[in-house]
Amino acid sequence: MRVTNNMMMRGYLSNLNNNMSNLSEYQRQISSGKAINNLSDDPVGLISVMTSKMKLEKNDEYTATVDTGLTWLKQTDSSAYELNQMIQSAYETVMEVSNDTYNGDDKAAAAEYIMQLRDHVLALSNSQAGDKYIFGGYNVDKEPFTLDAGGNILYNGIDLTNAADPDLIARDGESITYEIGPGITMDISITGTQLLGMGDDNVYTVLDDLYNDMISNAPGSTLGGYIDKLQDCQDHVLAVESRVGGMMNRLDLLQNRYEQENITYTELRSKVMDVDYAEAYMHYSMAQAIYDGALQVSSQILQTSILDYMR
Amino acid sequence: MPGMFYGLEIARRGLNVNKQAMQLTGHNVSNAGNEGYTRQRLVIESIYPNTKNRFGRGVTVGAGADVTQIDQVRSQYIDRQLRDEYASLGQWDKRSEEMQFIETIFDETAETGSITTALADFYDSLGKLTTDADSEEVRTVVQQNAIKLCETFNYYSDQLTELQKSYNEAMSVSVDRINDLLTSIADYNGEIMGYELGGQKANELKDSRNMLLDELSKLVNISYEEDSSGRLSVSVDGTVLVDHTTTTLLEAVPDQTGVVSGEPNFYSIYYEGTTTDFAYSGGELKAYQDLRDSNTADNMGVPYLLSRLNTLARSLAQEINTVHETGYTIPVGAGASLTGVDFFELPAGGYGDITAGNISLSAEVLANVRNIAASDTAIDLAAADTQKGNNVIALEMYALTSSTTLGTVGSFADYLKSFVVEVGVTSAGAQEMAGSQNTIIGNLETRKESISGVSVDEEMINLISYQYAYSASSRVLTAIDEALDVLINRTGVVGR
Repeated sequence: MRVTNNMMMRGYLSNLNNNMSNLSEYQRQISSGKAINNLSDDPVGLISVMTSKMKLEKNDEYTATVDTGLTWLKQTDSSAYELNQMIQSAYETVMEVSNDTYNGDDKAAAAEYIMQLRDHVLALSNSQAGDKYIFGGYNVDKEPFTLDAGGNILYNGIDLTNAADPDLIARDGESITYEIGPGITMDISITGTQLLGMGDDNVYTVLDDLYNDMISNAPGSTLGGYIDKLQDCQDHVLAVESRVGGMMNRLDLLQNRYEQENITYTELRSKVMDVDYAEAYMHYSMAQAIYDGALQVSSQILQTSILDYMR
Repeated sequence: MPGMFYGLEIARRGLNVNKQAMQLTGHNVSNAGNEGYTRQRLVIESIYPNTKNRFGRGVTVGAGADVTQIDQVRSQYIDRQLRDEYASLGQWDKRSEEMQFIETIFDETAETGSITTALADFYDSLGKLTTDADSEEVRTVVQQNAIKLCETFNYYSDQLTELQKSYNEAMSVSVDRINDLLTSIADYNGEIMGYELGGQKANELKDSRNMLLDELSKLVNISYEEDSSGRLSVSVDGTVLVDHTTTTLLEAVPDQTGVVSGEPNFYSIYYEGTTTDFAYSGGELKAYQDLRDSNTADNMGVPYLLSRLNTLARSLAQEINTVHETGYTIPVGAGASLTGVDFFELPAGGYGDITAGNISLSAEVLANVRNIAASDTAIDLAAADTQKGNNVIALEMYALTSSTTLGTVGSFADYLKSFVVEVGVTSAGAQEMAGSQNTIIGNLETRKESISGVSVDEEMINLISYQYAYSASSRVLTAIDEALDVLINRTGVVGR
């Protein structure tokens, strides 16, 4: 083929240009730390980058929800545990008082103790996580448990002792639900009715009745009847505790799973997205060597022509 | 037998031919760096002896050499191939350039500012709403992230619409340039014809016309014919636009609206003075038209991107609203807990009127974050049981974010992902096409240069031979001169 000076120039320029653009590409990869700087750099890789990114963001959301849930459940757990302690103390007190060796004054003194336990139970039932009442169902901003003028306990404004009240039954099922995973939900809140029980056998009313009986110096046999009742209360609270414990375990597992997944997806993303510095630097050095070579060739070949040899 | 002066004539012609050859070498070398220049070559013919001079017996030598023509060295075949490929190059080069620009708008490799990030932030705040339905702060975050999402949609839509308008302008500018080129080519046709009728070769004029044809072939796919008498015609998809010196020009008339965007003053391209659409299928003009008008996945243009965004915005608004409307708000002041409130603004014409360009929050949600309906029961702040923590509707809205069975889009995130990847794939494809087209053009141009380009080395070597030939012709002249001198001045003077 006939080769002209222009051809050599043009070929040289276009190769030099390619070398320059390679250099700039590797330089850009190294300085940005990213192998993909444009969508079109690796559209297939982009799929895994975006999938990982979305998955990581979703996991972050679920992790935040699980964290909030755990805070909530820890508060629930400690409240239930304390409640259990209260019932235990009341139980022991009743055991002592019911054996008829206690006289009226002793009973009155013990009744004071029961009253304090009773009031503490009310305070516990109005526990908060952050600024939210945890045992009120959807009623998170007002104390769920209040007393009416007669000293009877109300749950969300409804008489707790009337277990047949349809409103109360509706409230019993009203617990706050979290979405803790894709399509996975968990009823995170224990309602007040679940905690204390409904009807005359609820923890507060039992303690209240016990207090009244003790203050009126009821016989030991009457007081002995509370042993079973308190036992039932304790079983009830223990069931709540173990349910909460189970939920916390489940959330802990999920939390671990999200952490594991985050590692996997971060790796996946990094593999496609991030620059392998050793490789990029090697490419860069090679491109630079080629570029240098091209420049040197230009000074030696392109500058010579037959004119140099004509006199 | 010709006389002695015949030799002088031969030598004179020799000097003349080689002088012209040296001049042409000068011309070629001067134009060595001229892009459109085609190297020229003297067509030298030896002159046959004049038979009328053959009085007696014996043979006569030829009458020397003469320049009969100055030829251009070019291959019509490669020219034609090049111009076919130029249309393709023009189309793919522009397309890949513009797609690269479009992909920077949808920059998903950046950590912030992308539409997926805006969507993810909105999801995130909806997630927080499920755990904190009563919190005004969380509601404010939901509101702000939703505003950001709407603004991101609006921004993308604006950017794409501006791009579409710029392609529209580019089409009009291209049409003007095509008209200029057609007119100039017709002018050159006339000039070349006139020049060559005078017997001269119009090499330089042809070079200029060839450059115009090259430029035209990048703008639009052309085919051209030169008949035996040198009349050139140029046509596009079968319609003759230049017929020797007459032209059929084009006209850009702003009589349509933008596809999908509905922007006014979009140009139709007609044959001048008619309302017949200009038929063409390649070149930069085609690239601009595809980018401006194409609403299909296999040849994506701005309308396609816009309609995908619109679908997403519309579907998001409709799905969220449908759930939100069933919820109850937190009462504002002495007001009641409202239901049936829209989250995104519902235009009078229904959801079909929502576009990425106009999606916005409803006036209620903008006015007060309490109007975000997270509860499925009425909230009464005065009651013993306020229901403020009810998050049932918030949960339902949040469930939409991971749902994959949404009517028009399946899943918001997947729809967006497939769409962004599509932009990347299309851009990569266009770049590859442009790259391979550039390789083809590079090859053809190298072949063209190999044939038509000026090689300085070659010209110098030619120059040496011409110079020697010129010197030698002078020497022949001197020899004949000396012979004549002897004959005239020193013959027949014996004994003087």
